[in-house]
Amino acid sequence: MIEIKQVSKSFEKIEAVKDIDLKIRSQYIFGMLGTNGAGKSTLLRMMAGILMPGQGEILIDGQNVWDNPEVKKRCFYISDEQFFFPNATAKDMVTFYGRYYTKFDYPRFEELLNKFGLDGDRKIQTYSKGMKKQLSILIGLCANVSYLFCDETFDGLDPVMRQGIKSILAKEIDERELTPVIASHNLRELEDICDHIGLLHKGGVLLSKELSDLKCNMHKIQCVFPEDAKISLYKLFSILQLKQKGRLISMTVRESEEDIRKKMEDLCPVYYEILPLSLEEIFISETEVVGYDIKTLIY
Amino acid sequence: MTSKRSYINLRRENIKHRIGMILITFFFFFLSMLAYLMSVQNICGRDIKGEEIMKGITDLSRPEPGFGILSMGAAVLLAISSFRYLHSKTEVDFYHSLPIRRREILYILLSNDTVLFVVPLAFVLVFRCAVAAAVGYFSRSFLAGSFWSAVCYTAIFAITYLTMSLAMMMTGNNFIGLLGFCVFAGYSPFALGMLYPSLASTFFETYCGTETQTGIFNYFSPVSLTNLLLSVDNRLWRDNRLWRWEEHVAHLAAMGVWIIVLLTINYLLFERRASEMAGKAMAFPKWNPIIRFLLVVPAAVYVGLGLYAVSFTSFKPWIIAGVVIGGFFVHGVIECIYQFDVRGLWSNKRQMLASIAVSFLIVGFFWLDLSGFDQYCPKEEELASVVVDSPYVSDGSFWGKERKGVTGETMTGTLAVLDDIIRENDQNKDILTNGVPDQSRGFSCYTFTYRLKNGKEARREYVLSPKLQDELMEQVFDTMEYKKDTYSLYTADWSLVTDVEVSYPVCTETLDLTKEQRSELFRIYLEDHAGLDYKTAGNTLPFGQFSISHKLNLSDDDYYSGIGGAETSEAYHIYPSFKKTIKYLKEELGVDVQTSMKDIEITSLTASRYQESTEQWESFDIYDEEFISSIKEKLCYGDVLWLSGIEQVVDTSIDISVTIKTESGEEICGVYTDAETVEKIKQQGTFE
Repeated sequence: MIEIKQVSKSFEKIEAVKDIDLKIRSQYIFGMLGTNGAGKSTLLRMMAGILMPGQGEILIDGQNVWDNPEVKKRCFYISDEQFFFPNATAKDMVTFYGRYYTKFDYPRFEELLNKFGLDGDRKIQTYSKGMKKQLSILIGLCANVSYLFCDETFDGLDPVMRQGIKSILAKEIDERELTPVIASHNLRELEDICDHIGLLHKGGVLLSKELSDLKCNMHKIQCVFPEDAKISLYKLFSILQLKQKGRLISMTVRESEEDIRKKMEDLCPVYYEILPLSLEEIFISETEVVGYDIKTLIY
Repeated sequence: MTSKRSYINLRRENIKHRIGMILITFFFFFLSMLAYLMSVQNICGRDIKGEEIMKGITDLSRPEPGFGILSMGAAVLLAISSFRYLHSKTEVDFYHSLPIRRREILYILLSNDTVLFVVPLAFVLVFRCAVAAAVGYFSRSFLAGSFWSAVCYTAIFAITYLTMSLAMMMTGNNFIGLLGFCVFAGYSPFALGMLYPSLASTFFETYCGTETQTGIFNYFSPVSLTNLLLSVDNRLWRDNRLWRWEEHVAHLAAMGVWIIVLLTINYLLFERRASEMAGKAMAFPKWNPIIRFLLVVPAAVYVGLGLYAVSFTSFKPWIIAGVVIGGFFVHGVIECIYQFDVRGLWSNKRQMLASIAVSFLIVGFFWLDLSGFDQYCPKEEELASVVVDSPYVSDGSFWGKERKGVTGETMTGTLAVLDDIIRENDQNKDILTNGVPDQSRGFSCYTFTYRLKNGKEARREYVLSPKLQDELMEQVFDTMEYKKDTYSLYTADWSLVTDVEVSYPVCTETLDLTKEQRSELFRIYLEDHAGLDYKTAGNTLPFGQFSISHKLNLSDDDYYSGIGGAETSEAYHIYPSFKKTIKYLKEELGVDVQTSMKDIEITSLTASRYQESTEQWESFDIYDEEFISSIKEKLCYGDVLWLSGIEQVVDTSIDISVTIKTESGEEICGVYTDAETVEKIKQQGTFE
């Protein structure tokens, strides 16, 4: 488990991360969402032990990560712009990493390298940007670490490759104890892979929830009531948003589908329909509640 | 704890990915081996004795500046290549995300670079020993020389490397890192070391610089410390003396201390350096104001002094303008560098004003002489002695034993005159500097060295009017303390004398003396000289002189320290009152000394002078035999260059030459005379 306790980090006058308190459970895929400059990379680099928190501490499995090789051995940081030694081949880099990450899975790396069509004997500097990104992800996956920190990792990959990587990631999580933390500014990138989403804005955590909770407890209801019906919907439902067009009412509520169905049956509407919310819609609703316009934050 | 395997792995990778740098380093070491081979071949090829070849080859083993520069170059290159990763975000992310402690990364870099330097150095030294052995000139001295070379070059490498690495750690950009190294290398010896002498020589009328004031600053720079370590005492070149470790113990100790200090600072900064500073100008922003202040203040003062110098030191307010301009621009340039933005020129105005204000305070302190430098006159009870340097007899080439100065009553008398000297100094200096030639005639600079009882020393230079000079000399000239301090021959090692020439009307001849004759001549001369009082010296023209050539003293610490191995000569005048000397010359050495020109047949006399207004020489000739005969006795044979020490008696406002009849025809020779005779000559003609 990763515990981020009251962590702040400033770059001279700019406060990049401010009093962040966060817990990332093991074997959860944590999606870190936020605009450019929201503090995602800074937080991720602090989690990887590259940057020292200005205040607070980051514990991984109960130990401080800063300058702690024992903890760092369980983490792998994939930068948005990974460094490779000049003139090194993929195999050279793997040999290098393999000496630090003692559980490095060489056969699996070979297998994945072939699967992705990357030439292990070719100099990395001749790779395209996307190929370098693929290689860094493959090295991270095969390092057999418990925590994988990916900074904008899926940006720059073509959709097919992205899907391929995601499926490998999912498989890895199933097969062993892997906790990926993925930073992205793109909500759609994270929607179909993350278990838990944290929304960062201006250095702070605006929202941090499990995706299942968000999805299960939040629904959109479209309904029409009889003309003479006088119902106080706000008293019955935990409404996040309500819109009315003629007699058609659209509302977003924070309740389980079962509870909604039960309450609606009691109200005898002319028509009602319960619709699942996309992650995007959930975020729009949640952030509007706390006074933010998500569209300006993540688009 | 980082595993040994990981540690070795990063070590190996570090070396593997710096092949280019390693090849460059090895290439220069290879060139040094070639240069050594050529030197050995050159020495062995000379037609000289075996022991001289042995000496030449042994000398090659000792530390020398060329290899010192190579060591410094290697240190700078290796430090840049090792620590440049700190300036790249991607590389910092890569290295600092690896499961290895930061300090272990530092150990790896330091140890790798040390190995990369020490291994080829050891190879070169072994190669040198092998070559020396192969040509048959390997010796214990050669081995000792090689050992000290290894020690010195390694120390130079270490101190330069650690300074460069410190500069790289403190900055976030390679170019700024290099600039930082230049600042570290130059700040102490130049920015600080030259500040006091520059200000003092500009504002203090009585300042006469001493090297000891700036010497300490050379210990705070890797470059100047290296220079000190590899320097050879130039005064000793005459004996072909080379580097000796005994003369450099202090330098080696200073280097050792610096290496420990720098290692500690490097360690602490590497641990504390924030990774996010990669790509920024400076890695420790909190120190920026301090660094900027330390750079701007001396720079503003120097710009002020520079502007004043450019104005031909004519108008002191230029210093104020210079301080403002310098403070503004240097501050602005540093800000631009800090921010990588030319708009930074206007940043931190308050600090800029504060820096300029401090620069003004420093300049003002010197300008107003708040320390009372020019008025300084030590109390008699604080003084051990006073050394008086007369410009007429001492040009700084004293080669006798240590100068002790005048003490007791002579010192009391000297201090009494000093009150007047200090009071009149500004006025006298103005006359000497700006007065017309007639007005300033006879004004001269005297240097006083006050030796205090607490062991300290203070030196001042004053301009004395002829009247004050007389007052001073009346106090000191007749004492043996002053004579021994002023005339080297009293206390010098006579074995250093190489040649003695005697000049008298109208002849100059070299004396062929045995060691005993030379000692006897000097003894007799000094006996006569000891009896010479100021009144006689001030009123009598010497008829001749001894020109004593000598090697430089091994132990002196004087003016000639910078002149490698040059012999020098000194003039000792012979007065008509030096009867014993004249007798010894005539009777024992067989020199037909003429003590006057009265028996010399002079056919004409030419008076000439340089007219500054027309920048031309003008002259006239006198053929009047009667007139020439009337002044002949007052003429002294000699070149105007010999006049050192007797300017007070001699009138140098015109150059005089005479045509004399000799057995072979006619000969022109220079003469000099007193003011009264010069006046008579001037009345005989008109300069054209």
